[in-house]
Amino acid sequence: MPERLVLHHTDFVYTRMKAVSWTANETFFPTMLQANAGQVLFDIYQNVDPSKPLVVNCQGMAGMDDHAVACIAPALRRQKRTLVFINAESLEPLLRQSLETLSVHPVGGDVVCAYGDPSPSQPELRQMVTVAARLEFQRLNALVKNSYRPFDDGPQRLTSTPLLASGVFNARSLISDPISFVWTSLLMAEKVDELIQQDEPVKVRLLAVSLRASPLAAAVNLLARNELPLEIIDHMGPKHKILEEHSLKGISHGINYVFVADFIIGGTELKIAESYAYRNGCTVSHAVAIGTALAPSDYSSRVRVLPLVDLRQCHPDAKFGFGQIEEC
Amino acid sequence: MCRVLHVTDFHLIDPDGETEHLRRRFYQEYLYRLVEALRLAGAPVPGCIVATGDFVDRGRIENFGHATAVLTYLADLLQIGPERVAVCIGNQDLVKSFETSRKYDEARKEFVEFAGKFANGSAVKAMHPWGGLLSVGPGVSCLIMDSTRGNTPLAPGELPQPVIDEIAGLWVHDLPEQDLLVVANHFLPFTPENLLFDYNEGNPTWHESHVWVAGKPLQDRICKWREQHGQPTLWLCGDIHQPLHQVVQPQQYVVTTGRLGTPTPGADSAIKRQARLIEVSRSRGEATVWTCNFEPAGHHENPNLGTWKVECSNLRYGGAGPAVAAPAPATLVPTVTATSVVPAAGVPHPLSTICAIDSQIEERVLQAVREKDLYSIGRFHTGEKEVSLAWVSVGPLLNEPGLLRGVISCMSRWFSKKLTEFGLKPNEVVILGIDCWGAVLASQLSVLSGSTNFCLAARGRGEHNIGHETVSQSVCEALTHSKAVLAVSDVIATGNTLRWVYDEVVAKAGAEVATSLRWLSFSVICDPAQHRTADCLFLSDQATVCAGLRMPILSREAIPDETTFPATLSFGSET
Repeated sequence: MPERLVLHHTDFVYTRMKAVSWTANETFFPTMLQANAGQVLFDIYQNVDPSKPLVVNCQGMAGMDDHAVACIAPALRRQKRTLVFINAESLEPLLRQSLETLSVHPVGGDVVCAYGDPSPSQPELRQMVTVAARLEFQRLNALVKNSYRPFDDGPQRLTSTPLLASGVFNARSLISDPISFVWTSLLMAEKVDELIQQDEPVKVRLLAVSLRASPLAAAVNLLARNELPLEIIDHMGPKHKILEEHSLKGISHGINYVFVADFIIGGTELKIAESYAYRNGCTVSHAVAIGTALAPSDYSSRVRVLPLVDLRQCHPDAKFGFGQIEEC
Repeated sequence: MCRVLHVTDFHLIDPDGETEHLRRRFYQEYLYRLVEALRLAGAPVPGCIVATGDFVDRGRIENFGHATAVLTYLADLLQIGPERVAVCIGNQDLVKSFETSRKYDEARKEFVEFAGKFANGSAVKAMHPWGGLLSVGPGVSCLIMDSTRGNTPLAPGELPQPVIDEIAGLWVHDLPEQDLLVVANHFLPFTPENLLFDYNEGNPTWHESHVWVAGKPLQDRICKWREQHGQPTLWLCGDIHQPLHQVVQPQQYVVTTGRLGTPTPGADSAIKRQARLIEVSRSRGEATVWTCNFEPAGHHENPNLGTWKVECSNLRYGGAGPAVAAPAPATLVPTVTATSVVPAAGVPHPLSTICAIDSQIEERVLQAVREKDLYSIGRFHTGEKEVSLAWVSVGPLLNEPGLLRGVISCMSRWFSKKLTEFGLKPNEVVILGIDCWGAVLASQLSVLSGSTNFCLAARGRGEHNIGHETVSQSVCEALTHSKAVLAVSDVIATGNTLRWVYDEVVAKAGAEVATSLRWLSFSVICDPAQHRTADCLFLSDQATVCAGLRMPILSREAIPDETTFPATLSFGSET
């Protein structure tokens, strides 16, 4: 599985330390690099496309165990493969302690620790940082595009919303495959981290109201910088049927919900979730989704909608509308 | 009244393979269904089991261990102790090289060790290298004969005259007058002129290798003596390729039974897999037989598909030989039905043996339930026939700091252990997350293990969900290429949801796929102390985080109706 945690670029191979840590840790702390994950990183360094530099994104990592990456030190000396840690501010002292040959480079406000023989130049590092930021989104775009299935018999009304659609984006493929789920969840968790940092909502709780949103919301709960409480309601979509009415009584007031969804098309589930929140004296302040079919601002004036992917750009064949839609 | 269950010819070749009904992964279901078919046919419960040889195939003595498991399981289903199970040797149960060089004891060493676990070891009245007299229950003695000793390894053996004299002259004469004598031989000691059939498989010398001619004098003397004294004798034989049942002389009965095992598909044969239950009534002077035939689902046998059909008749006195049944129609008849079945008495429900896998996490769960007041009492309709009286809100429970991580960690450790135990790779297992919290746990386990996972909506039996949230084509495809499936739930109450998931897989992926998979179950909460009627015998292994929380289940008839005691929760399709 280590090779599946790597994204390939023409000039380097890329991985995310949090992805490695999540899949490999014995105890469930994805933000802490432990020995098992260090071993996986070593396997990647040694075996996955060893002719190219390895770029490891440390974004979101809180720390690492002593000697978690000690196994890499001899490999560095032996293989002399370029190894670059980006977004490494939180780990820099520990990385340098374990891998003495690392040099530290400021790159556009980021801390980069690099090893190479010869050491990579500043322009090379800048290019790695710039390109690496896009790789994960490119990967997610490809996954979402592949999840689209056109309807065999032409446009049909969707179950969750009275829109005509040329097909459906099915998040099952992004959840069923563990590696796809890892990349998707990491980006969603970071989106939630961003909105918390930017908007500073108080009394935040994650809210999922469908079967397929539940794993995504739970992953965000476990991966986000601040572990946010999670509320799952079974279920408001695609078919609206709340099955545990009795357990919805006595919910706290004043909560700011961050609505987590797989895809938001017409926004019906979001609307229902808003109604539920208002009934309990709460609000839905934000919505995070893998993709949206409309522009985020079209959904609600009260909810800040933050998609990872624009579905119309991701798959131009996907059409949505109320009346006739252009056949693809 | 004496009742004997006769089985024979297991012919175990590869218990870990995929083609034998008695293989490790299927024998329990196969035998459970046999016992259930007998029960549904109104057959009485046998008092003992007699098995007449060829437990292993062609000297594969390493399979005696599994033969022990098969017989023990069958006995347990019928609540029969091992001291009431009698076995005799078949020509394929011995080591050929030793037999050829006349080292008869060495050739039978493993069989003797196997037999010693049953009445052959614990209920012996008399023993001789050629046979033994056992007591297998009140009023039933069993004479087990070695019809293979001497001669060539694959043909019936010799029987010296002194042995005949001792057995017929002493042992049989000294039996209590009221006892039924069951004589168990692998090879038939009756010559064709005695019987209603003359089956030779197109081979004129067939009788030389299938009829125990040397045993005929013993048979003559025993039948003559016992007929004269009005004492019933039941001759049970294996090996025979044309099963029959017949009264050869007054109260002297012969029953041969078809094989219970062997691989499928084997050579096309009109002889179905069989077991027979014989009831001998001394007072009425007659015997009744329940013949259980395992009918294939199509024209050819299949290692997973088929149904036990039971026919009841008196033993034949004459007339035409047993008819060969026509092949079953070509519609698939899965061995597992979608209706709930009460497990046979004595067989524990898989969920009643469930244990908490980590006592520390269990204690944290119990503490969180108490402190957050998450336990509710009411009427919760989660099954068709039963009602759960308790409910735990899993969402607030798993929001307890660190508890979700703790559950995921211990689930992951348990899963790794099961992969090793069952020799599975992660990509050979599909994880099914049942409903929202099951989907949460399944997706996390999928990341940690590398196995594929699917979210399934089970509440309301899919009525409130779209196709992608059920057992869809993608799920069926994944299951078809897998060896095991792990169903992950938040709370298991009646077990009906697990059963429903299984039945959905049967219905949409096919019974062959469903029964070929090893089924595992993991839950956050499951109370082993509850009596459940949902048939969950398809489960190979199950685990839970918290087994110590009582979640009472009652049948709907045991509580007031809904106008008096309204439902707190109902998912719709179960009511």
